[in-house]
Amino acid sequence: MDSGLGMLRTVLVLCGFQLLGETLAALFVLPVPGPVVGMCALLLVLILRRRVTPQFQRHSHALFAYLPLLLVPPSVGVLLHLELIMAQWPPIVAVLTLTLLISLLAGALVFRLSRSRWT
Amino acid sequence: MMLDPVGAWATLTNSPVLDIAITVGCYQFGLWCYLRSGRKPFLLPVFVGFVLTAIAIFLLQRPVADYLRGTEPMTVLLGPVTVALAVPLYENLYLMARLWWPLLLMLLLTTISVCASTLWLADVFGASAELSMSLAPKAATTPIAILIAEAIGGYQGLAAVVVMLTGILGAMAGPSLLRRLGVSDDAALGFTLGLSAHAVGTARGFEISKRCGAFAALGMSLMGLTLAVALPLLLA
Repeated sequence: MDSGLGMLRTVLVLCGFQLLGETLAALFVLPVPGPVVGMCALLLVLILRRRVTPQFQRHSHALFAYLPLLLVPPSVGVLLHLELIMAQWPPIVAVLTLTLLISLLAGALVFRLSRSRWT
Repeated sequence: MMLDPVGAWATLTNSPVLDIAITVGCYQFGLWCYLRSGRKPFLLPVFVGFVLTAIAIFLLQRPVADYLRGTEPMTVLLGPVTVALAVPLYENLYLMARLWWPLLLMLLLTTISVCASTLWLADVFGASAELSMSLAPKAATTPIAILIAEAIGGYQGLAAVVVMLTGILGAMAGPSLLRRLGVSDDAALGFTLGLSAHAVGTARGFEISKRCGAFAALGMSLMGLTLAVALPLLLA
């Protein structure tokens, strides 16, 4: 049974875990962002319960469809830093290209070391 | 009857609803372009949406701070959605059962080499502290990366765009480069793609195969979690 309002329960649970995360982070003076602590707490609960309800699963994935849209406003915030980008583009370009290469090389290296374990 | 076109224009351009309408409209257009183009990574809806929204804000001469305040109802929702990222991580955790040590080694080596090389290159090329801290979370998925950037003293907007570009570059160059480096297994290719190019790499992975995409999603989640915990503890 899933009326359209079932989504509200999922959102409420997610808000609850975020608030829990923010509170724990503040309580223990953790530098880790509150929502990430909330995500860890939710993951722990899922692992301990050994299941995620199909409803919760479906609603989460429905929310992810909107995630990229929600990321547009923070990205537009880059307009506040145009001067910094003009002045410091060399490190930005270097990091963007070279660290990506390094990251792919690291993955390929481990694959070659452990080739027999895959497939 | 007296008309007040100046007042009407001011009311329109100062409305937070206009900020949200522009954002949603530009994103919709980006989504349309992406689907029409057959899902080309450089036409990523969030990227096209961001570029068009930025242009619109600039043309309307809307102060960026006002735009950010106007779109706060959207930004607030990022929190619960970020918490929900635990669900795909949990769903894909079973993939680790048989392959846990190669996967953990990949995660560890990639995390260390990416973070170390980012901070080192930023330093060598003379980046300011704020820029370094905005570049540091580049391998994390965007909602997590902007949280990390804020926690360690970087700029959210800068981090968001750097992460987007990382994903686009990784999704475009990653698969062919990895194959050339001898990564012949879809699972390994996907995992590395997820570690290096987060959500964009994951979308690319699902185009290669379902197995490739699932491992990419696992890689993305684990990388986001690792960076979110490690970077603030080490750098904040």
